[in-house]
Amino acid sequence: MKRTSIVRRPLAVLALLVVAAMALALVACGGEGDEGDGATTGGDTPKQGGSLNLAYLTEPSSLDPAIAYNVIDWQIEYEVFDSFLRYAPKPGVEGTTLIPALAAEVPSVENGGISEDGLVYTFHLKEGIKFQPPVDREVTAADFKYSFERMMGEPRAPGTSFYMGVVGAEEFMAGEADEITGYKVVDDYTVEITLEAPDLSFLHALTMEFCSVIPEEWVEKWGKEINRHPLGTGRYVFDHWTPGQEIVLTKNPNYWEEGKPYLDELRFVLSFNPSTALLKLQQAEVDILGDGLPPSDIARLQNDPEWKDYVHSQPLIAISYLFLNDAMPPFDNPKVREAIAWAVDRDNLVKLQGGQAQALYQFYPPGMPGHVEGKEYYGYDPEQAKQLLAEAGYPDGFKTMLYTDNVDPNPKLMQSVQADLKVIGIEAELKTMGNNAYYNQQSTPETLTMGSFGWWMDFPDPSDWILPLFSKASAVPGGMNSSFWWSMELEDAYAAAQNMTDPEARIEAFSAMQDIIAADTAYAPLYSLIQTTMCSQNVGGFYLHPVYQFNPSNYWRL
Amino acid sequence: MGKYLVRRLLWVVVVLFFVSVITFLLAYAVPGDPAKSIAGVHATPEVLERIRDELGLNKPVYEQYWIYITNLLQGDMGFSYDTQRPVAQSIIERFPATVMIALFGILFELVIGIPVGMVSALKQYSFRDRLFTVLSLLGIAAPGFWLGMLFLYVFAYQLQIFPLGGYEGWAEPLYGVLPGLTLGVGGAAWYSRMLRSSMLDILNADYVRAARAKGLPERTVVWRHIMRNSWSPIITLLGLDFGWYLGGVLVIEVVFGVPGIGWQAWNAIQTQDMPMIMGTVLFAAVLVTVSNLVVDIAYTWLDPRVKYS
Repeated sequence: MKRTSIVRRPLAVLALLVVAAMALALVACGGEGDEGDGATTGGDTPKQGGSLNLAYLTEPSSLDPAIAYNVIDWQIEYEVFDSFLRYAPKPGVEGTTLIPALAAEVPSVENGGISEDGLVYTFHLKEGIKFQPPVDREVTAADFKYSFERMMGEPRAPGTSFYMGVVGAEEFMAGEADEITGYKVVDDYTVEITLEAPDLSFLHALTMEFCSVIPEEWVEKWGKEINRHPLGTGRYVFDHWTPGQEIVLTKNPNYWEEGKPYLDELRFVLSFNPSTALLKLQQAEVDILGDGLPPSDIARLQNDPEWKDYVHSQPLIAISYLFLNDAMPPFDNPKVREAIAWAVDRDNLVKLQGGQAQALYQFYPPGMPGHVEGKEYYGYDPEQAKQLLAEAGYPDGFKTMLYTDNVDPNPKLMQSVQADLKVIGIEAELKTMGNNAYYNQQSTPETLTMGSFGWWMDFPDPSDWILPLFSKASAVPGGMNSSFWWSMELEDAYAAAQNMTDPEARIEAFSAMQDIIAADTAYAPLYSLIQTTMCSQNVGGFYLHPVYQFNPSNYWRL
Repeated sequence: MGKYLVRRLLWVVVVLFFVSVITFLLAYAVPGDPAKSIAGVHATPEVLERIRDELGLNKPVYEQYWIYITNLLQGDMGFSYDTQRPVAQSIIERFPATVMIALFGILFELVIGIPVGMVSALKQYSFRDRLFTVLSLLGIAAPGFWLGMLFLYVFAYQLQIFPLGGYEGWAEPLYGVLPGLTLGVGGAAWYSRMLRSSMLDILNADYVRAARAKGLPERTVVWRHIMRNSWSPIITLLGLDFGWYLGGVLVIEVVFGVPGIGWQAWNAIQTQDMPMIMGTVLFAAVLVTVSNLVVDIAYTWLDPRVKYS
C-alpha cells in the first residue's frame, strides 16, 4: 500500500518523535516482555450495544473511496463501505483469506466464477442488499460498474494502476471510450469482468477500498463534498465529522449480516498522540490505540499485571530493505551488493526498535504468501562480507553515500548500518533528507547510491512485492524499484506465474522468484515490522487483523 | 498619528507581499512533487500528469504565483491539494482552538511573569529573587512537549483536575487551561526576566528617588513611577507572543490533542499542499504584523513621550 518509511501523513512522525521523548521523561521502563500472539481478549460471548472510541493522531484527508489512500482513511472506509469480497475476520494468516461480502461467493475456477483461461471473472451479487439511509435502495450490478468507472475516471485516483488489466481500461483512461468495455453488467445481480491477461491477484485488487460500491445519486448530490459524506453498504453509517476532533459512525439499520455489528457506535477520536491516547485509555476514555503503543511503553505494559493481557502484537506485512542502485558503480557489481547484505547486523536494528521488528534474510516478510519459514539467503558475517568485497575487486573497501529520510527511527538505524559497513571497509557518508524529497530522489534514476527503503502491502499477494519493487516496469523515473535492478529471468518467471490459475502452484512460483532476486541481491533485506497496540478493559473480542489491523465491527463492549 | 497609521498599514501590505513571494518560492525550492504526494506510490505517469494539469502545476512558477495572488486579492485562498476543501474554511475551523490556547497562554504569562518579575526586582539578590531566577531558567529551558506531558500526567491523569487533552469548543474552556499553562510557564520566565531587568534600570532613577523623598507610599512609587515605565519590553513581548501563538503552536497542539492551526500548517508542509502552506503562513504573518502594529500604538498610550509623526 504504502512505503513504510514515507507516510502520506507525516505528522505522525513528528508526534512519534515528540511522544518518544515525552514517554522517556515520564515513565520508567520495565523488563523484557512477551511478544503478543494476536489472540482475542474479553470473553467469547458478544454483546450488543454501546460504543467504542478509537484514538488516532491524524485525521483522514478524504473519505471518498476513489481517492482516499491513508491508513486512517481506510480504517473508517472499512466500516462504511463494502465491495464484492472482504477478508475473513480472523487474526493471523486466516485473516488473509477472501470471503464473500456483497458477492454470493468468491469466484474460482472450480465454481465457474473464473473462466478456465483465467480471463473472465463473474460475480453474482446477493439479492436484497440496500444502501445505507437515506438512500435506502437496493444495490445492483449497475452500481458496481458506476463506482468502478467513476474511480477510474477520477483524475486524483491513486489506485488506477491496479486495474489497467481490465479490458478497455486504457481506452477509457485515455478518453477514447465512454465506458470500460471489460466491466459488464450482465443482469441486475451479475457482473462480468474480463482481463487482458490472467491475474489471480485481481480478486485482492478488487477488494481494495478503491472498488467500494457507492450510489450515483449520492455522489451527484454532494459533488466535491463527497469526500466528507461517505455512504455505502457497510456495517456503519457515517454520522458526522468534526474537523480535528472526531468522526462518528452509527450502526447501519440496513445491514445484511444477521446480528452484526455488535456496537451501536464507533467514535474515531482525532488529534491524540499515542502517549496522550495511552493515558486516556488507562482512564477508560479511549478503547483502542489506533496508532499503537508508544515504543518506550511497550515493555513496561507487557509486564504490568493489570494491563499485560490488553497489549496485542502482530507481524505486519511490511519490510525495510537497503536499496542498492544497480545503475551506479560500484553497486552495479552483484558481489558488492551481496557483501553489503552480509555486513549488516540486523539484530542490532531490531534492538534499536525496541524489538518491534524481526530480522529478515529473505525478500517476502512473514505473513506474505510466498515467504518460506526459516529461509535465509544471508546472515551477519563481516568476514564473508570482506571476502566478497575482495572478490568484487574492492579489498580495501570504498567511499560512498548512504541516504535515508528524517523519519524516526530511520536515521539511527542507518547510523548502525553505516557502522557495520565501516567494519568491512566501506566508508559511507550518511545523508538524511525530508521524506518528500527523499521519495522523489529515490525514484529518480542514478541519483542515490544506497539507502533505506520501506514497503507495506496493498494486499496479501506476492505480486504486490514483485511488480512494484523488482520489475522493469517499475525501474523508471517515479517508480518504486529504487535499486533499479531487474532481470529478464524474473520478468519471465513473473509473467508465467501471473498466467497460472492454480493458486497454490502460483504462490510456489512466486516463492521461487526469491532465488532469482537473491542470486543478484537486488536489495539487502533488513527487517519486517511488528505492530503492538493496546485495547481498554471494556473491549470484547479484540484481535489484530493482518489486513485491516482493527476490525471493530467484530468487537463488542463488555 | 493618522498618517503614521496609514504608513504602517501600507508597510503591512508590503511585508505580506514579500512573505507571500518568499513562501511561494521556498515551497517550490523544496525538492519533491506535490502530484506524487497526492497520488501515492502506485500512480502512473498519466495519473500524475492529470493531477498536475488539474492543479495547474505544469504552468511556470511566476504564472502560478500570479494566479494565486490575483485569486487571493479577490478573497479566494484556494482549495487544499490534500483535502480538496477551501483553505479559508479549514483555517476558520481550526482557529478557535488556537485562539483559546493563545489566550490562556498569554493569561498565564502575565499572571505568573509579572508578579515574579516585580518581586525579583524589588527584592534584588534576596532568596526569593534567586529562587525565581533558577525557576525562570528552568521554565525557559524546559521543552514544551516535556512540560506539557508532565502537566497532563500530574493534573489530568493523577489528580484528574483537568481534562486529559482534547478540545470541545469554547463552551468547555477547561480544555484550554493546561495547554495555556504550558505555553505560559515558558513565556512567564521570559517576562519575569525582562520585567526584572527593566525595573532594576528604573529603581534608582532620580524621579523614583524624588517620589520616595516626597513621602509617597511605596505602592504608589512602584505602580505609578516604576511599573508604568517598565511596561515597554513586556508589551513588545506580548505583541510578538500573541501573534506567534495565534499562528499555531504545533508542539503544544500535538501534546494536548488540540486541533489548531499548527497542525494544519505542518501537515501542509509535509504534503507540499501549496495553497494550505500559503494560507497558513500568510494568516500567521497577518496576525504577527497586526499585533506588532497594535503594540506600537499601545506605546503611545503607555508612554506619553512616544510620539509618531
